[in-house]
Amino acid sequence: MTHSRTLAPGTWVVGKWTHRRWRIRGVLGTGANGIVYAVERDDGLKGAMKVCETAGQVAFEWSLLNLVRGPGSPFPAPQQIDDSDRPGARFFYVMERISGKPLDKVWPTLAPAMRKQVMIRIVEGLAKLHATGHAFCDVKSQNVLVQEASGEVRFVDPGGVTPFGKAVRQFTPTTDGAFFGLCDRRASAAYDVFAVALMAVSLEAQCPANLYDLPPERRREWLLRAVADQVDGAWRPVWSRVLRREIRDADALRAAIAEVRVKDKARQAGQRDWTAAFMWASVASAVLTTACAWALYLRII
Amino acid sequence: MTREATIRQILVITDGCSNIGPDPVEAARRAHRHGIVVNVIGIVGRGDAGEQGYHEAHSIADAGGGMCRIVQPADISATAQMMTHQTMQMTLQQVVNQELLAVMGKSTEDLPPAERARVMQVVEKLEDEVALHLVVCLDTSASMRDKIPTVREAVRDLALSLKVRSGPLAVSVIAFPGKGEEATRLVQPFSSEVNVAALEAELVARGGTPTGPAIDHAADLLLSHARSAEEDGPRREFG
Repeated sequence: MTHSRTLAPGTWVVGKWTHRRWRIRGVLGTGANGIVYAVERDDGLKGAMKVCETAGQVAFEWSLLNLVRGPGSPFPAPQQIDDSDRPGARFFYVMERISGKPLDKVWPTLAPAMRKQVMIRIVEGLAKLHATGHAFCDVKSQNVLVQEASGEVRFVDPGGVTPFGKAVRQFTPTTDGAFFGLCDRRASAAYDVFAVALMAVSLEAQCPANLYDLPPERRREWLLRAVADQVDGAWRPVWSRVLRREIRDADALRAAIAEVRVKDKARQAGQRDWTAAFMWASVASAVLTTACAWALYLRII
Repeated sequence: MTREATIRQILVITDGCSNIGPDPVEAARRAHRHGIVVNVIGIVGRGDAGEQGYHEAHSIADAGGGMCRIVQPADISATAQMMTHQTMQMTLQQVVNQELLAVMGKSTEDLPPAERARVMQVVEKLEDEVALHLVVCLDTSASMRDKIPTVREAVRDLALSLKVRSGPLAVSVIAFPGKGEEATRLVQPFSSEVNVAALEAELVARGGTPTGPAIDHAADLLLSHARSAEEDGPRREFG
């Protein structure tokens, strides 16, 4: 199998079946099994084009996208599937282009209340998917796009979507419950709930370099320590309950997150003012003391 | 039909060039002629993975009808799972394509794209139900010393992925080189899960890299396993 070459911006891709034309605008990302380009259709419709090496992979992902489509779906809406003669885009589908930034990029800049809202939106998106009898399975911060202003959340990469009960097909070790000895690698609501907790931990805790050399039980020990030592105290009870297997579905997780008491802004600002005042007072008194000492030493007073 | 079908694969995990025994590319070609797919994971360590090792890894996979990926040690397990899944899918798709050609005179790619999805759902279902016989060949040459714990955990992890499929799994593990003068060593015979204790005891880094003999050994295991299964009843061969 050879890697397909990357298409240059400005390249036109002509669909064999639909006779539509798409212009490549740039690379949005490289997924587990292909490349996603930003494209514009001949009538100006913006989209994201996923190119895979085989017709089968394209067709299969297309069927997943259609499976999870609908009003309010967290996944991108499917637009078209087609083939072209252009090397590097022989088999592709085009979907809605989702704006926003990956969760891991925006997380450090989000205020505590916004973090809570984003987590709730993620879990609501999963609840919607679970209602269709499918799990996302590849929940990770790179696959969650956040609109910074509104806190709106969408998912990208439907390649992992799997019917409940079937073997998970696409996952990332650091957000995989089986990797940490928490559950089977089988699609279920609980599998996604574990993944959300693992994603939340990974946003704040640094994985040790030797995590991959450890057996699953030892990885789990690290995880529990990370929740105790490195995760924001307000969130600790939620993620601990997930890891203790007390929260097993999206609705229960949503309820638990709703109870997280985030620090409100006013108190935080008050705290900061007080700290700042104390600091300035210390500096002023230090300067005054030093000045007096010098004055005495030089016999000015 | 699906209960009787079997997919046979060899997964080679190595960090460099073979330097003992027959040519691994020829060994992979021989295996592929018997309907076995050979996948290769090349591990990039700190500062090694020369041009030659890269080239050899790709040539083995090409001759073996499989895939090749060069990855960091941490990515072995997810890559192994992805490759096994994708190559099983490729094998099944070839079978489905042959059937389509025979019945309709069309291959999947001749169908309109939207209709291919239905074919792929059949492939996906078959993939979940088909029997998988897998031999993992682990390079335990001296240069692998630092990576052996990661590789051991990756093999355990691959088994976690494969055992939740509906179809039966038989997995065997070979280390190369073996102990003393042996080119290869059977770490565990075919079993429905990975014996982690055996992996911990048997994976000791030493000596050269007999990749060719390891592939030949793996192919022999798969073929004799198929013959012993045949005595229990007729099976349909895929590939």
